[in-house]
Order: sequence, then C-alpha cells, then structure tokens
Amino acid sequence: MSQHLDRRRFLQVGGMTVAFAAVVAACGDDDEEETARATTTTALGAGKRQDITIMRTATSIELLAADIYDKAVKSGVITTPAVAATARLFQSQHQDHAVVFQSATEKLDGDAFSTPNPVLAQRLQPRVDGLRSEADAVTLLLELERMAAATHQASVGAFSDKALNQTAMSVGGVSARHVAVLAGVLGQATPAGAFQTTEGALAPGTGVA
Amino acid sequence: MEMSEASLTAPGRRTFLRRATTAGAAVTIGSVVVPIGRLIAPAAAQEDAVTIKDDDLAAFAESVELGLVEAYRQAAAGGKITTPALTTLVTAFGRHHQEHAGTLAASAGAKATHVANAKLVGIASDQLRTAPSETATVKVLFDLENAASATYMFALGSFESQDAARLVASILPVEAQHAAVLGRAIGQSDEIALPPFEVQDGSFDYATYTSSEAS
Repeated sequence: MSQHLDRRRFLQVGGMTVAFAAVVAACGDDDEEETARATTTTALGAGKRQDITIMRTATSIELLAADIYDKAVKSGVITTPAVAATARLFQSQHQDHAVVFQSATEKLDGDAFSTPNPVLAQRLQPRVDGLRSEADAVTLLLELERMAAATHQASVGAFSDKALNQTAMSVGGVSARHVAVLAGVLGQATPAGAFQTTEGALAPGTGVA
Repeated sequence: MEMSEASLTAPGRRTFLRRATTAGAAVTIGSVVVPIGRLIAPAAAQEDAVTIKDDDLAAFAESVELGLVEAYRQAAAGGKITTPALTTLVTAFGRHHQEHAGTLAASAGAKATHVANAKLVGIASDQLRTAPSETATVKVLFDLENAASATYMFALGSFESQDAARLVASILPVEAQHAAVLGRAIGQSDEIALPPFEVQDGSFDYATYTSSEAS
C-alpha cells in the first residue's frame, strides 16, 4: 500500500479532511532527471512533516490525558484509594509518554508540542466541570484512554519513518492496558474482541496546527 | 533480553530499563532512568540487524499464537483454575489467540505452518504442570502475554510491510490488555502489570524459538 493511501486511511479514521499540497509536475523530457530529484525531495519533506504532525498530535493527547487525570484526582470525586492511586500512576505515565513524543518531534527537527490538545480540552471541559462521582471520573478517563489507544494505533502505517511505528505502540500498548484497568473498575469486560480497532482515533493535526 | 527458558517467569521488560546508557535526554521512571533514544529509535532492533522476511515473521507469530492457544488450553484443563471469573478469562483469551493465529496465517501465506511453536509449548507446559496453585498458573499466562506483547514490539520494528505493521498494531494492545487483566487478577504489582512503556525486551526470540522447531 502506498504512503498516500496509508495517510488517506488514517485521515478517514479521524473523520477530518486535510488538504495536502498537490505536486504539479508539468515538465518536459529535458528536465526529467531534475524534476525527479525535486519530486523525491518534496515527497521526503512531506513525509517528515506528516511524521512531525502525528508526533505533535500524540504529544497533545498525552498532555491532555495527564491534565484530565490531575483534574479528576483533585476534584475529590475519586474516593476509592486504589482507584486514586491508579489514576496518579496513569497520570505520571502519560507525562512520560509526552516527553518521549516531544523528543521524537525534536529528533525530526520539529517543534515539540507543549500543551494539552486545545480542541479536545475545550470539548471535554464541561465533562470535567460536571464530575459528580467516581464513576463519572472513571468513565471520562476510560473514554480518553480509548481515544489515545486508537490514535496511537492509527498512526502505525502512516509514518514515513517506519521506526516510529514502535515509538507509537510503545505508548499505545500502555494506553490499552489503562483501558483494561479502568474498564475493570466499571465492571466492563476487556478486551471485548481479539483485535483493537482505530475507531475514535483523533485525526493527526487536530488542535496542533 | 529475549524470552528464554530461564526467563519465562522473569519480568524481562525490567532489563530494558536497567540497560540504560548515559547518552542523551532521559525519562525518569521511578528510580530508573530510561534514555529517550531507546524509545524513539529502537536501538535493539538496529543493533541486532536481523533481517527476517515478512512472511517468515508472520509465520513465526502464527506459531507463537498457536503456542499460546495450547498454553491456555492446558491451563484450563489442568484443574488448578477454579475461580469462575478466571475460567471465563482463560476461555476468552485463548479464543483471542486462535483468532490472531488465523489472521497471521493469512498474512504469512504459503509460509504459514498452522502448528504451535514447539519450544514455547514445551516451556509453558513444564511451568503449567509444576505451578502449585491457581495464582501460579495464571502467573505463567501473565508472563506469556507480556512476552507476546514484547514480541509484537519486535515485529513492529522488523516488518517491511506497513499492512503487516498495522495488523500487529491491532494485536499488540490486546496482548497487553490480557497481561494487565491477568496481572491485576493475581495481585501483581503495578510496576510489573502496568509498565510505563511496551518494550521488546522479554520477547520470544525469533532465532531461539524457530531453531527449536527445526531440531
């Protein structure tokens, strides 16, 4: 499958339309070699930019998760000591994940993203303000973890640098573990099926442009 | 560290954390410093420089999944798991592995063997047979799941095909969830059951686990 199709699939998952710059190749035979070189350079640049966008998006999700865990714990609605301890552990892990994604962004010569995803934060603020019980908090955190797990999974196959597949899933697998634990708190069986899906993944670029 | 007979019950992923180098920035996890470079540029895969064809790797993964199916079958039949909730988990997770094997076999094409990994089954059978309790039995399955997750981390760094990588990315989280659920069910510490990162250390080593099949 081509890189172009990979990305298109990713974007369809998130339901967001992103217009990639079109490459116009109107050239004669005399310029064929030079054009080929230029096209390759452009393609590599576009791939790297896409990798940076994915990493910045991933960072924003991890920072958002850390922030929401913090707010949930501080809201006082999580009263079961074991659940509160788990929430603090997961918050810490999300912070660590963000550092890794930030470092990966910088390694790609990109600007590391440093704040919780603003689009999601705005969308979730009413939920955070409306937390009234431990179940409310765990439900919100579970939805957040599911989105994070799906997003990291969806990035696999979309990177131009395949090594980043491992980076994404080194975190994505942990998000999945978080899902299992939080679902267990709510009495939900997890995993529900043999394969995790990318349903609910956040499209790359959302909130980080 | 790859999964071996001696390491099947050891928390192999800890080795990854201890194998820190001092170069570059680092994440502090508890008292352990993890070089970020190890997480964003899988050094182990590069150092090992093992080239495995995609269909061979898919076939290996299929054999691992079938080995896990057999391990779950033996655990269920061994009579040591008596808690109904655990029985339900063992049945469901074994079925998941069967589904994984089927999909991986399709990916492996003509290289698919439809045979459980003999070395894995041998090691797991020994440990399941000598496990003195329900908890010890589940601990064996927990270790197997962590090893499976680590194996898929290795595979992610090895597959050339992005389609194969996507398939692995849909399986790895499920293995990780199996481990988390089983670990919590038997009271494993969060440090062990809920690690901060998935790593490839502690995986079923391709060379080791394929050479046993040939012998």
